[in-house]
Amino acid sequence: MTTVDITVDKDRCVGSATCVVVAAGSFVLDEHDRSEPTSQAGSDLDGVEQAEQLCPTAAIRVVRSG
Amino acid sequence: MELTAPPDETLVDLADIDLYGARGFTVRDLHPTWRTLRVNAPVWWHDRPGETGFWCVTKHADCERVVKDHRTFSSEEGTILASVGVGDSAGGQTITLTDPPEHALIRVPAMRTLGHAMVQRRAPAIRERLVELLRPCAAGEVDFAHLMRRLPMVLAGEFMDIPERHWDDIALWAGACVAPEDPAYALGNSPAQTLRLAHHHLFAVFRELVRQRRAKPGDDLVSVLIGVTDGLTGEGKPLDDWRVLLNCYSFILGANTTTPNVASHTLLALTERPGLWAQLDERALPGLVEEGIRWTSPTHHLVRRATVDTRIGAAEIKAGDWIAAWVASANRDEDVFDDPFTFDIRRSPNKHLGFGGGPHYCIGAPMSRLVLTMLFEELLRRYAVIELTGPLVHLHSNWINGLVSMPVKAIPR
Repeated sequence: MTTVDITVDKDRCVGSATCVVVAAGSFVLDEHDRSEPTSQAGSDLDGVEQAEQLCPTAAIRVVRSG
Repeated sequence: MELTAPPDETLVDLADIDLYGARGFTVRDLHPTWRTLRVNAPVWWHDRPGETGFWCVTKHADCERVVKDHRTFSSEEGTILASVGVGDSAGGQTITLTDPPEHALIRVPAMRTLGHAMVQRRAPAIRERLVELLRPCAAGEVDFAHLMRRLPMVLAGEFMDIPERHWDDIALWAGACVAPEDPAYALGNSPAQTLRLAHHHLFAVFRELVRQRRAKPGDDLVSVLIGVTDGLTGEGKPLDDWRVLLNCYSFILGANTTTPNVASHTLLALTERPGLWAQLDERALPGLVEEGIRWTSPTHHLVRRATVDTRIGAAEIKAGDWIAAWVASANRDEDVFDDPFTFDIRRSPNKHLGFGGGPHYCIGAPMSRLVLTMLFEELLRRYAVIELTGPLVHLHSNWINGLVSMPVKAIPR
């Protein structure tokens, strides 16, 4: 089974919220306006990969394994 | 403006502060003023006799909040000091002058063109153009600031597919829009006339580009803007020509105001620290570029307007008040940066606000970082040292920290 590991580097994140727009439901901004993946992030791979590509500071990493 | 390290005790009288007056920005270093505000009045009301005043925030944390919290601090009526009290005629229509969620309508499609993947794909073509741009350095003496006017056009030429014959004109007109008070950009008899002429010329070129792209769309940003449909109205209508043109203008201004000035100010910082050039290698360049962005802080301020009553620190902000977030001050905040007045290419982390933050974080940041890194790679590869050979001319602007003239001599390896 394919598993997906989604991480956000909070030191790089600038809170542009691009990920929140292109992968609605998969990312939220925390109380410091930094992105974090939600528990549903794995179910919208296309969206999450778009978010990875469009993040202006390349703060999102999506690693597929299996 | 001159960038110096003011002695610790240098504070200015609050009564003498004028952060609006354009002439005052030419050479005078504003860092002592901003530090005074950080220390004595971090949220300060800037009065303007007979005109609308505005709040000045100068601490990193407050500036970050103002640019990130778009619900409280809106971009829709203007984002520069010139808009305070009068608004911006393009308000609500461009990527710069809209708030989320409308903002994403243009931001997301544009990011598909300007994001890391596209930047990497276009990198070889950009490098080729950059090497061509730097060719005059080989002659020895060159006005580096003047040369750098073309740097954003190397990028816009690639990303907006603007023919090279327009590059010098567009760079000049964009400069005039940014600093109509500056003698180097005086196209007319007054700043207002300069601005009108520059707008007229720029929009004529954009109109022609839009006409061409409508006939034959490509994968460039102008074609992307033409293809944007206004999904939020529920009707899915494309942007009208006027909105496409306003957004072309917004992108061109964004490109021309920032990257060339970071390039020149970073090289200036290096010429002032002769030992540093010899220590640079390719691994050090990303750190050099980040510190160059912090050091330069190409936009002094970002303006927002309060949508509701709120507080910043002890200050009570009323709905409708204008707020200038002095990001250049935030980038010297002693609470965030150790030795903020030291140019330190190893600074880590370097959480500067040179590209802003939040939804309006500079959309050109990936390409700006790429081209600035490439620029210093190419210079470092060719030249053993670069020396300043003549007087600097700084830009007249209360918004942009620019260099108009910076004669240098490049000595080959």
